[in-house]
Amino acid sequence: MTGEPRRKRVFRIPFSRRGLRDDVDSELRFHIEGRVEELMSKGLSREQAEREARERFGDVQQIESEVERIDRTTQRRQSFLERATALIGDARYALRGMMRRPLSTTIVVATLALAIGANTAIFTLVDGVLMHPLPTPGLDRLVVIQEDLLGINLHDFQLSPGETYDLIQRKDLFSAITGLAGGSANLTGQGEPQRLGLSRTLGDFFGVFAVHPYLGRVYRPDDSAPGAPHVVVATYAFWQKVLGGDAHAVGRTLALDDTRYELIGVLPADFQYPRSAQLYTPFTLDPVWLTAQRRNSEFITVVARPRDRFSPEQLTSALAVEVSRWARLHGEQYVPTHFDLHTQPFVSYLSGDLRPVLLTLMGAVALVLLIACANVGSLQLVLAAKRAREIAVRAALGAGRATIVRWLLVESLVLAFAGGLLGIAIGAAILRLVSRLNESQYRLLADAHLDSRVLFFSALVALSAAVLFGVVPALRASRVDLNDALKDSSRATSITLSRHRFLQGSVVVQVALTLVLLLASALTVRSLARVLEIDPGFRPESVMTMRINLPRSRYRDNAASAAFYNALDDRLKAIPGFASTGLVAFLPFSGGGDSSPFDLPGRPPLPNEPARHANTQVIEGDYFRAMGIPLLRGRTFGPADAAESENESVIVDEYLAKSFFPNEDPIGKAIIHNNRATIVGVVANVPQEYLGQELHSTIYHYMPRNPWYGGASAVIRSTLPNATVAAMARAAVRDVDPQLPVFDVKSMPERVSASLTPRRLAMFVLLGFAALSLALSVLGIYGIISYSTAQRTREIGIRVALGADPGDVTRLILRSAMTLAGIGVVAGALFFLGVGSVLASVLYGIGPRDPLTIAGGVLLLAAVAFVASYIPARRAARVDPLVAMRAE
Amino acid sequence: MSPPDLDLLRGTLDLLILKTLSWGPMHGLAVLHWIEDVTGQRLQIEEGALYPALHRLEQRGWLDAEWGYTERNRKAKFYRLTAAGRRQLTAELSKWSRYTEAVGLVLAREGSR
Repeated sequence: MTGEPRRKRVFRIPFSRRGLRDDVDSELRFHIEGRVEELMSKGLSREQAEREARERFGDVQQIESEVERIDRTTQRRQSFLERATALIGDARYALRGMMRRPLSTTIVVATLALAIGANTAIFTLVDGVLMHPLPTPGLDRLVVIQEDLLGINLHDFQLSPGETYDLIQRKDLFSAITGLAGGSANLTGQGEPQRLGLSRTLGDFFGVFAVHPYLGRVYRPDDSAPGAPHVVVATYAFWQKVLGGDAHAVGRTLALDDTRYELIGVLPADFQYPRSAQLYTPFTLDPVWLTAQRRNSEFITVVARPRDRFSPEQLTSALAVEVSRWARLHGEQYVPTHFDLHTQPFVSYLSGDLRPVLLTLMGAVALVLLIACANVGSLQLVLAAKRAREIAVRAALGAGRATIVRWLLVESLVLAFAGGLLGIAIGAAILRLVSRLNESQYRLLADAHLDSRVLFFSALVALSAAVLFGVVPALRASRVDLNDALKDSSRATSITLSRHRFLQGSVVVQVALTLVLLLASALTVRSLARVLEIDPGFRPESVMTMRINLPRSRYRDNAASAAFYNALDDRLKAIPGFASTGLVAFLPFSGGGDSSPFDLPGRPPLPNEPARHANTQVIEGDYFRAMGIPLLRGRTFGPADAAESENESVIVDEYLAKSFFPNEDPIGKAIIHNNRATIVGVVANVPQEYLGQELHSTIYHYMPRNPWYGGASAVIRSTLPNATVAAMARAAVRDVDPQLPVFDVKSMPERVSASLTPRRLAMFVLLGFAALSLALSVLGIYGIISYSTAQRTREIGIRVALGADPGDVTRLILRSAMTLAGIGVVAGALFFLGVGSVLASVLYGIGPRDPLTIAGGVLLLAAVAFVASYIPARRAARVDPLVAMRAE
Repeated sequence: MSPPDLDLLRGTLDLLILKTLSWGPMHGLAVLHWIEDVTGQRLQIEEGALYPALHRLEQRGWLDAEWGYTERNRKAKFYRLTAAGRRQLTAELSKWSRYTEAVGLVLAREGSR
């Protein structure tokens, strides 16, 4: 029995569970039966032999199950190994094939890379701005609490310190809540005096954002008790930039607005909110803030983390109950018709006007990806048809359909992988371009960066692209008729009807989606053009501006502030080369502002008149001339207006004049806005924040009489170079007060341009996408038409031989191509009409269904499709019938 | 790979199987017969324990298993030593001889009594 046995291969490790059990079972049975026979040959009875054999063997059941378990593990390991090996083999094969077709491989990889790169870049922005702008865990739970002043039609206002204080007491609603007053302070004693962002916080700021200090400690709510020593916490950026990253900085004293603060901690590098903050200090809640009349000084941004058990609706109704309590305590201003508290997710509050832009771009970039997939998919299908012979050979050698599909899919994956890698590089390059957007209010964009989430997203995009462009062609191509394909390579490439359908569908999809992108970008271009046509109401060219702030510690009263402003105005005026100069409390296009109700004594409300509420402006010097704001009626301020008197002089804007004095001359009319006043002049409307802003009444007060605000901007009109103007103005400020920092030095055109950033971003990105998709679909249409005419060479040859005019042939091909393009255009236009409304929020002065734009886009795309199919059609018509028929 | 000195019995059984199969492919019962013949029945092996050992050695890639037919035309599972198995056998043999040598030295020492 031990000699070389006669063996033949029956099977190896069986794959099914059942087969495996049978296998083990027969092996053990063979053993026991062998033993039984042996023992019987020694003279034992069958019964005795069986008992003896089993005894020697041991517990058959247990051994059987143990062996089975071992085999199952073996099987799992082997099948994994086998599959991995097969996959690597397929990938190698695919790579070799791709190397043999460098041109088509380059086109496919480049197309995918551009689409994946665009997706990576846009997703990075969406992720960084809309999804994870801060490292705070559970950021999506945070809400901003805002108030609507319904009586004067103002929405989404901040809260007053008193209101914030009341909400902080509601521990039952919020697990953490904080109020923030943005602000700034002059830092002295650290080199040049400089202006810093100083945020004053109420409640538990660091708890709401779950920030733990990088160095030292953060302050606790009790640090804000009246009389407690002044403490500040610094951002990482401030610590690095101003304190040089000194490891022993904690404990140092900083002089802010001439008050001494102890630095108690430094925050980690990845936390920066608000954008402008460099230092944080507790807001000392002076009892005066809790009095009824100060409850409408709204300047606190309230951010809270609601307790988990509250749904947004429950929270809103709980806030309504709180407001009704305020109405009982503080009276009329809190009745429901006048006042309303609501919450907004913190993340969407933070992204502000970038949100609709980014969501639009996200949609657009998905379309780019779809176009790229349609494009690559049809190219793959055409290639697969050309490789029908290769596929047939494999099939003849025994590869099943599943094997061929897997082989083609692996090829798609390899292509998508290459495209994905290159795409991430392209995405990173696009982000570098975006990060040049340095305007402070869009730092959020510049800060977005590639991280693991983004890379995961890109991988997902590449994978889904591979499936999208790979699966259908692979399934189609695997249906090869072996006989046909092997007999004759040229016949094998004839397109089947289903394959033809796929190519036609691909043309329609590409044309349709390209039209959508084309229309979207055209609308943003026209919208930006409209915005730029807006008369800003002033002339920003050759105007330099800069800001200064007066620390309250040295400018304790209005007289001191007024004296400073007067002195500065005098010095600026005296500088030769400055054509006109002025000061203004709230420089347009720079953020900030104040507003309050006004009254027109003795004038009952007109029907449909807007709210009697106006932006407050305070100016000095030749502000209107320096800014180029036309004076429409009356006069500007003069020295006489500075005198303390019963009646102040104010200047109003055209909007107020037209809204409240429609058929009269407002000059000389009485108005109450903070003080009793008489209107002495009317100037043109100026938007305070951005071009195309909804108009609001504005009332200008005279600064020498009302130096209400601790800060102002100098406005200088001059033909001198900006740097010269800035240096001369700095010197003038230094002459008046050497300790005052001059900051935010910018020309007015820069400020106006910065306010257009979201529009520009939307326009440039959409234009890029439209151009990319137009190029892709031109290539796609050209390729598909060339291919399908090449398929019809024989038919065309016959037609020409039978006397068809080359023009007829061209027309024949063009007709079928343009039918497809036509379907695509109609589908695209309908699709756009359906989804275009999402664009409404990023457009100005033009509707998303603007007929002219749609007509233009349709015509342009039709023309491009015509050219792309005309060239192959012409070429086909010039075919020599003899050559064409012999080609078969 | 568990060192043979930790699990003497199993390690020994593995070694015996590898060594036996180094003579040529065999099925389980034949392996047992071979060991019995060579040792003159002096080594009692619990027969059932042979199979988990065989399958474990197969899992490690030291044995290859294949169904075939015996001389009497019965279907049986044959095991064959692979190249890796042969290397393993060499390694185990040298370990074994070092081990027995060491044990032998201890046991050969005459007591002082």
